[in-house]
Amino acid sequence: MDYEFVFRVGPIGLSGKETSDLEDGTLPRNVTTTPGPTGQVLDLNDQDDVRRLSRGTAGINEEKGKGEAPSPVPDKDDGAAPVPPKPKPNTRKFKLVELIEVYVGVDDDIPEGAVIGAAPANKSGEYSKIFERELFVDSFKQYINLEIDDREDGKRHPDHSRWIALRARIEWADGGKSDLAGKKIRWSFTETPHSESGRPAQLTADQSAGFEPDGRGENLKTTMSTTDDKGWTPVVWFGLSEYAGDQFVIHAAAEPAEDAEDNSVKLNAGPYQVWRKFWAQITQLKNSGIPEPYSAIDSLIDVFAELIFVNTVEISREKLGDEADFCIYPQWMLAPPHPVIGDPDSDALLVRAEKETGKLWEFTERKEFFPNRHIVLANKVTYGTILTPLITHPMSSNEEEYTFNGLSQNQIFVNPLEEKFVAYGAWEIDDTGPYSDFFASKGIPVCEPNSSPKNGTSGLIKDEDIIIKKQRSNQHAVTIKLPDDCPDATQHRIVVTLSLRSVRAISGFADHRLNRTAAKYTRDSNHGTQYAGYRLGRTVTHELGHWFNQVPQQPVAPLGSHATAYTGMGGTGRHCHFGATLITRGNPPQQEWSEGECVMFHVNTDNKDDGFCNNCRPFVHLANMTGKNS
Amino acid sequence: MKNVILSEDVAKEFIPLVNAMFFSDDEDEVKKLIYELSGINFYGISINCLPKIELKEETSLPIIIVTQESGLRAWQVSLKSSCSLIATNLETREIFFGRPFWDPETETSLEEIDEVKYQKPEGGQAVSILSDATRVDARKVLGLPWTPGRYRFNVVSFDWISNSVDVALEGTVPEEMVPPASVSRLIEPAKSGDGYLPTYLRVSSSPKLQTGASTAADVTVTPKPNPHTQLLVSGSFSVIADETHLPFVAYNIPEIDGVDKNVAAAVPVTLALFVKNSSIPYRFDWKIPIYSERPIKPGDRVEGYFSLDAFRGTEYYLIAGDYVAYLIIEGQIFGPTSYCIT
Repeated sequence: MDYEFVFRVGPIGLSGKETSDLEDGTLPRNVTTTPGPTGQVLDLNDQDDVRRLSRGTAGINEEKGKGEAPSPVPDKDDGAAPVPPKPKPNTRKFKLVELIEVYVGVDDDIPEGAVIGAAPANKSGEYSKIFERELFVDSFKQYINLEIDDREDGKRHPDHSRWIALRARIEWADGGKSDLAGKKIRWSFTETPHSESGRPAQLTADQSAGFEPDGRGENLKTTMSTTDDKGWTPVVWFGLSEYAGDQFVIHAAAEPAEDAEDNSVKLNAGPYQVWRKFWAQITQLKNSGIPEPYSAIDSLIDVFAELIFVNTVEISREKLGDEADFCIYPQWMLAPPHPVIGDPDSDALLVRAEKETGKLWEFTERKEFFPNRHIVLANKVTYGTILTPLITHPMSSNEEEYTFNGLSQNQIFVNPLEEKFVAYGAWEIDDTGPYSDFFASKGIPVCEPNSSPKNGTSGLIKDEDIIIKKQRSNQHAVTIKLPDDCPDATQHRIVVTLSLRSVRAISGFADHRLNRTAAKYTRDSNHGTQYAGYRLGRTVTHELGHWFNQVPQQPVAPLGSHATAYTGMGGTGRHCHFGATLITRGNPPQQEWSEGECVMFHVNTDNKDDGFCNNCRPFVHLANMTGKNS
Repeated sequence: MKNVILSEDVAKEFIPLVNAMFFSDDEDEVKKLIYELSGINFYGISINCLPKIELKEETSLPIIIVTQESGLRAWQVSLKSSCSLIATNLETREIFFGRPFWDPETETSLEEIDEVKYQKPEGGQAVSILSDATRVDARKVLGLPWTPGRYRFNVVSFDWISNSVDVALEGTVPEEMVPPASVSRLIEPAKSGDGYLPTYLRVSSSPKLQTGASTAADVTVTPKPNPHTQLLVSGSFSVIADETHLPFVAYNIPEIDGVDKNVAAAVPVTLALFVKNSSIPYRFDWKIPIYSERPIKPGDRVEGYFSLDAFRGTEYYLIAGDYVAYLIIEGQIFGPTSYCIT
C-alpha cells in the first residue's frame, strides 16, 4: 500500500484536511509547540496565527503578535475594510537535503540525539548523541510492545515503541542555510504488509500505521510539516502498524514540488519492521544438563517476537535450603513413565504449580534488563495432589511391593512430600477377615489364644515405612516396609490399610498473575537430548502462547474468531486443534481432539509442531505482549 | 467382619445422612467413610444423598459415592474412568448422564493422561481391597436445572451398578429456562416390505419379563459389525401407566404386519451403551408406543415391546472392546447386558 495524499493547497495556506484539523483547535503534535525559526512559537491553536497562515502571508519570520508583516486582515473589532495582499514572487528554490531519525527526551518533542541506520541522516551534525540501528536481513526492527525508556539501563531505546520520530531539513538551492522558515515538507509512507495469507487486508484504525493523529482517531496517511529558519521540520511522529512483520518506508518531499530545485527528490527512512521483544529469566537446577529451549526462540522469531533469555539462574540444594527436600529428588524417582537417561541418582527438579512462592521463584541477579517472564525448567511439573484409594492389603512378608492399579500415568509418587505422603496408614493383625484363605495358602498361622504380640495388634504406617525404590516394577509400585513395632508378618496375619498422595504431572503451566511459567524437560530415550530440547522448547512456546492470550476466547478485530479454537474436549483452557482429529464417543456425541499439530494443542505429542499454526499466527502477530497477560 | 453386601445396605449403614457430611468443603469428612468401609465384605458402588434439598438454601446437590473393589477388579476395569452418574427427572422423565470423576478444571496441559496397564496382580495384591469415597455435585456434573423436581440417581461403572437414591428439589426460585436434557422420539415401524425393524409388536425375539415387579424390563442387544454396523435391540417392559404416558389424542400407526395400530400410550425408554473404561455412553432415547384397542387409564399396567436397530440412520460404529448396555425406564435401570466386539 502506498499512501499519497494530495493536498489542494496554496503556497503556504492550509486547506482540505489540514484546515479541518485546525477547525476544532486541536493539532498534530508535530506542529503544535515547535519553536519557529526566530525562536518564536508559531501556535496553530492560536486563531491569529491560523488566520495569518490561511491568508498565505503569515511570515514565519514574523514574531507572533508584533505584526512585522502587515496584516491584510484587520482584527474583527477594528472596523476597517479588508485589503487584499499582494503576493510576493517566490523565485528562490530550496532543496530537501536531509532526513533524520531522532530520539526524544522525556519531554517528548525535544530531540536528544540522532538514530542512524534506517534514515540517511546526520549530515548536519546537529546531534552528537547517536543511536545506531542494526539491519536485520533487509529491515530495521521496531519493538512495538516496549516503551522507549521502560528498561532499567537508563538509556533511550528508539527501537522501542510503535512510534518513530523523524525530522527533515532543507537548504536553499544556492547553498543558503538561513531564512528557510515556512517551507512545507510532505510526509508519506509505503507499507508492505506481511505476506502471510492470514494477514487481514485492513487493520482496525487503532492497529493501522500512520502519522500521529490529531486526537480524533485514525493515524494520518500523510502529513505536512513546516520548516524553521534553519530549514528543519519539527519532529514528525510515525506509528507503525501493530501487525508483526509489516514493513514501512517513510518518505519526505518538498511541498509544493515547484518550490524545490529538484522536485523529484524524496528522502526515505526505513524499512522499519514490526517486532516485539521480551526477556525471560531461566531457572534450572545446577548441572542439570537441560538444554536451552531453543525451539521456543525459533518459533517466536517466526512470528516476529524476540525471546531473550537473561539471568539463567542455576539453583542447588544449598541455595534452596529446606525447600530442596520437596523439590529436588533423584532422577529415577521423577523419570516415570519415561526411562532414565544419564545418571539415575543425579538430582532432578520438581516444580509444583500450587506453590507460588519460595526461593525457586525469585528473580535474581538482574543484569541489563529486568526480565518480563520467569521460566523454570524442570524435570517434572505437577499440579495438585490426588489421593489413591485406600487399599487393604494382606502382607506375606515384612517388606513387599504393592502396585496401585487404576491410576493415571500422570499420577506420580514422590517421597517425601511437603505434606504427608501417607494420607492414611495402619497395620493390624486380622485373623478373621476375608484373607483367611490367602494367609493359609502362605502358611501364616492365626495367633495362638492369649498370645498377643508385645507391641499390640495394630499400629501406624508412616512416610518412612513407604519406600519408592529405584528398581520398582512400575511407576505406581511402592514398597511397604512394616515398622519395627509390627509383629513378624511371616508369623502373624498382618493386614495393611494405606492411602497415599500422588502428585499430578503436567507438561507446564502459565501463571499470568505472577508471571510464572514452568516447563517440563523430558529425557526421551527414543529421540535423544536434541529432541528433548525441542520438546521442551515447544512447551515453553505453548505456555508463552497462553501469555499472549492464545487461543483467544473472544473474536479479535479485524480477524474475527479463531477458526480452530476449542475449550475442554480433552484439555483445559483455550487451545488450538489445527491438524487434529476429532474423536467422537457416545451419543449424544462427546468429542475430543487428538494429535493436533499446532504448538497450542493441549497435549504435547510427537505430532505437534514447534510453532504456531496458520490459524494462530495472525492472532500472535497482533498480540500485545506487554505487561502481564496480553 | 459384617456380611453386608448390597449397595442399599452400605448406603444406609455407612453413608450417614448428615448435612455436614454433604455440604462441608472438608474432603477428609468423606474420606473417613472409607476407613469403616474397608472392614466390610462389599464389592461395588454405593451412593447416598439427602432426600430433600431447598433450592433457596443450597447451591449444590451433593452425592456421596463409595466404591470398593479387589485389586484384581481394579486391574480389569478402571472404576473411575468407567463411572457415569445417571439421573432421571421422575416428573418429566428427562434423563441426564455425567462423569462424576472427571474434573476439567484440573486437567491443565496434561502430557500423559492414559491409564497404565500393569502386570495382572496375583496373590495378596489380587485379593487386596481398594476402597474410596468421593463427594460430587450432581448439579454440576449433570447440569441439572435448579428448579423444583424429583430426581432418581444411579451410578454405573461398566458392569457395576449402584443402588438408587431419590432427591426432591423443593422451594420456589426464579424460573430457569433450560433445554430438555433428553427428548424421546418415536421411530415409526418399518413399512410392509421394508424389513421388519423397527416394530413394537411382541415378536419371537422379545425378552420374557419377570413378573412381580411394578416396573419390569429386559433387553437384548446384538451388535452386528458387518457389513454395516447394526445394533439390534429387543426389549420388553411392564409399567404402571400415568398421565405422562397418555396421548392427548389417540392415533394410529401402521405396523409391519400391515395393520394400523391404535397408540393408547407411549413410554420413554433410554438405552445406554458403555464401552469398558469409558464413562461416556452411546445413548438412545426412544418413545415406545403401547398398542391397545381400548383406552388406557392412569394406574393401568401396560406392557410394551420394541425391536429396532439403534444405529440405523446414524454414522455410529463400534470399535473393538467390551460393552455393556443398560435400559433406563421410569427411573429404573435394568441390565447390564454384556457383549464383546472383537
